[in-house]
Amino acid sequence: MAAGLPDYIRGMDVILQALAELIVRPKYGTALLESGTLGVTANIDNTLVEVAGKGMIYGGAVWLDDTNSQANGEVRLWADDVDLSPLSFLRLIDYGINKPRTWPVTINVYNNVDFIYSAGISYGITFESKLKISYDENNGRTPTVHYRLVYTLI
Amino acid sequence: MLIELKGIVQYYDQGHKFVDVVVIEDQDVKSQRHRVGVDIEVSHGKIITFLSELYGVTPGDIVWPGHIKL
Repeated sequence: MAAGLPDYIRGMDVILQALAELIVRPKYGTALLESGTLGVTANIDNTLVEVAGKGMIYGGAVWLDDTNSQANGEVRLWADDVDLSPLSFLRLIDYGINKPRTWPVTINVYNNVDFIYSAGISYGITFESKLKISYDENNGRTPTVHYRLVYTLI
Repeated sequence: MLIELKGIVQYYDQGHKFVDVVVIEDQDVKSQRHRVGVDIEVSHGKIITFLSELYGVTPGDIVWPGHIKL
């Protein structure tokens, strides 16, 4: 409302700065959730979810627990066919990449005794035509991998 | 009715590949999600046919943005 008048009588007057405040936000689409569980194939890059469209990531996680080490496993995030995060669980923990948005994929849990691993997907990454999350199994085993992804399509 | 395709989702769960589409009906603010099939190969024709039959519209009433590629 500008100068005490309802909007239908007088619209926003940005030039005269008659508004006390103006809230601006980007317009995005409905939030979407993908989730699943996949017994992956050993020694290959296993696609978990793939989206064709334009949008933005709100967040996500990929985790697993196995009966042997998956330290060399890699959670990969692809935007527009570019691999944004080719680092294994071991490298992520070695380099301390554990804060969201410092890297597209960050480490949440690295337990190489009970073999529990979890990686986070950072918020705010945009994609123009394609988004993909995969798990690159590099340990010669077939663990069950769980994932969640929250994003929007615009 | 005008149907705009917003995205095609292929995800894996419990050993199966699920294929969904996300669409906007008549420029609504909220998108709709529909299951195209399970363990199927995706093609342009299959998506168009699915949406045409679902909404009872002709292929010309379906907007397929150029950035959505299979």
